Amino acid sequence: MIKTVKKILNFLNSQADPSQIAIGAILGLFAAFLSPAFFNVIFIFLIALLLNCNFGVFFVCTGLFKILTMGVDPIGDIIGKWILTQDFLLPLWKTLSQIPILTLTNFNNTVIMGNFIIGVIFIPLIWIITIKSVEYYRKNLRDKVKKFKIMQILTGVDLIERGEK
Amino acid sequence: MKIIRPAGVIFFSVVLILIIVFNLFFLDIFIKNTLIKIGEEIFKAKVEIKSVDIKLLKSRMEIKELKIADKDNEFKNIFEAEKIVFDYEFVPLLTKKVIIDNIELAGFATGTKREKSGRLPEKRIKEIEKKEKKQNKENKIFNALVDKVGLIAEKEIKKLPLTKTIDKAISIKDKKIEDLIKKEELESYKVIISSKTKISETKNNIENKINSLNIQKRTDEIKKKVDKIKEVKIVGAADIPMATAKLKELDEIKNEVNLVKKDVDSIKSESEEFIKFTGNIPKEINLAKEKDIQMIMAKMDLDILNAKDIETALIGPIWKSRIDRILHIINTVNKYIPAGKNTKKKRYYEVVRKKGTDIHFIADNPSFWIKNIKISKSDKADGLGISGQITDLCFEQNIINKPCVIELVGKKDNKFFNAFLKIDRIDNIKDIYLIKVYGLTTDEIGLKNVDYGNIKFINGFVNAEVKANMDDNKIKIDGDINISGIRFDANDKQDILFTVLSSIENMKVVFNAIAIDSKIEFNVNSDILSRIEQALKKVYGKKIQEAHNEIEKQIGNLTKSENEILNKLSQQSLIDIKNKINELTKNTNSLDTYIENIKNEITKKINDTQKGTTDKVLKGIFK
Repeated sequence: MIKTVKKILNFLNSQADPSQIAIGAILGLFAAFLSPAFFNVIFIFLIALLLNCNFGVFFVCTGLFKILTMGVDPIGDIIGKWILTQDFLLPLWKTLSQIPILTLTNFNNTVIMGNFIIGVIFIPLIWIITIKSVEYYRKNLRDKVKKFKIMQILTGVDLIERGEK
Repeated sequence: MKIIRPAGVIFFSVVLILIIVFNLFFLDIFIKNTLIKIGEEIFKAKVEIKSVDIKLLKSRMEIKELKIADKDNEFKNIFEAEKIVFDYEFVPLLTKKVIIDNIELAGFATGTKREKSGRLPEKRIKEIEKKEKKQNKENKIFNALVDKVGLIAEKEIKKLPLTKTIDKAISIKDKKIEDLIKKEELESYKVIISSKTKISETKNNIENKINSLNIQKRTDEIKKKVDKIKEVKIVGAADIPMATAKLKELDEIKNEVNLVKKDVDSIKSESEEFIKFTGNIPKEINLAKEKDIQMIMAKMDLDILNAKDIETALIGPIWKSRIDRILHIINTVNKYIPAGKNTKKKRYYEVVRKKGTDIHFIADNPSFWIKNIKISKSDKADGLGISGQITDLCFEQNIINKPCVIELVGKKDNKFFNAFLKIDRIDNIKDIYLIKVYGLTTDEIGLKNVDYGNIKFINGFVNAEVKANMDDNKIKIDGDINISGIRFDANDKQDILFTVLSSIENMKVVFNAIAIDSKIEFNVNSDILSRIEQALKKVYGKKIQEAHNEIEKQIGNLTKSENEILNKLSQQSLIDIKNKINELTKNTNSLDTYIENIKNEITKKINDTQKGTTDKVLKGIFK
């Protein structure tokens, strides 16, 4: 865990592209929101592997957004039910339900469909917030944060860990 | 920035291969666990599978040693199968549709023994029930019936724990009878006091009446008058008219005597009433005493069992075990097979999941269809081997346009099992459920575990037939259960219920339930009520008599002195009144005789005088 946090901090402190963090956060969000179907978690994990995203952020965000699902699931259930039971959309869902593999995503589940829609709505928001935040951090806070004791301790984690071994 | 991570591609490929490999090696375990989970949700008991072998290329799955525990009898399996072979269609699986052409179920048996308990942990049961409650919301009639049956059963089962011995139920020693008896409140005491008062009053009334009628004085006066008439002198014929007048006077006096006699007679009749009243007093007191005894026995709060309560308590779990089983089957069918007309209208149907609801869109192929299940029985000595066939077990019958038919038969020695289920939900619901069992033991149908408190079934052979018909608006369940060779056991053999039930060797329970829309009628009858009543009388009779005698003795002691006073008063009053009446009667009768004598005497004198005069006249003529 500490290693993951350290990696995230190192990434933040570097000049790497902030969109990698944004992609990680978005994939984390979907992994958490669509977790009722195990297939979805595996699928998103594979995408995270494939895409150039920050893996630490992906894991941390999956955890954080998973906590959020306690509040999001009931809303997702309502939205999902509404979407899935609209007459004009039924032919679409019926067609999708005939496509092999796609049905494994459990898109016909109200919570999964609702959470997916909520997730899609949040994509631009998370994208903008993440990129802006990273940029603001690098510009205004990075030097100050580097001086924090916690940062120095984290920087020394490797040494401590090696010493323990 | 490169969108694709070059190292990720390799990693992705590795992970993908690992997933495929994992699936190849662990798919069996995954499927096994899924099947166990679904099975436990359906049967609410432990489901065990030794192994699952999936042959993807052959589209075949083999399940070995499937054991489904009985939720009502934790050390028995409701079903057990040695081997199940599925021939499924692979392509529909990719669209999450299960189409199985054929299932061969070998070594199928029911009622086999389990070494370990088949009960699920409480947490898991609650979890399943919570989910079920959510799913059940849709079928209002069925839920109303289940709720009603549950309520009735709850009411009946509450009456079960009757663990008292006859000595505890009627513990005369422990009850202080004297504390329960208050002399002033006793009906018998009140009767004694009121009788005493009435005797005194009536006696006084009679005496006053005697006094007011002045009978003695009147008789004395009459006597004087008579004596005066008696003095009349008849010397010659000239005295005869006077004497004749006196005779007339005597007749008038006799009328006076008759008046006195009439008054005496009226007093006599009053006294006879009084005698009758005093003669009835002991009877009245005894009646009042009986009332007192009943009242005190009621106050003693003797724990006397009601025969109807015992009957309902005894048969409650019996009919409930049968009705539960059929309701469980209907509930399972309801959960997975909706009525065709509902899905036709909606173009989709809903299945509630732990998280959210799955919306199933009605497509050209059903989502679940087992075309044929062939069942062959187990040859194991244990349990009852079952053979039969299930055809067209499908979640969307309106797509395949066929009902599901289940025919199962099991026979071993004297035991027989037959189930015929026709689940017809192509359009409207037209289900038939018929389950017959003959010669099964009470243990095998789960009655051994029934909580009768101190009492339990140790043996009994059950013949039962339960039939249920269900349509869109109505569920009708008829049941007929015969249990013969019944034997009960109890930790405490002195238990009243045990004593009563020991006399019952067989029983017949008939029940029917009809749920039409929101109206539900439920009737249960048995043939054991009169037998329980007789047994109860026998058990309680002796003890009740003991209590009765004890109370009677106590009441007798309390009212002894008053009773003695009353008896003395009654006897003395009777003697007094009788004496007075006798004296009056004697006096009037003697007066009557006296007058008659005087009358005769005067008449004689008149006759003699007349004769003397005639003789003298004749003598004068013939001189």
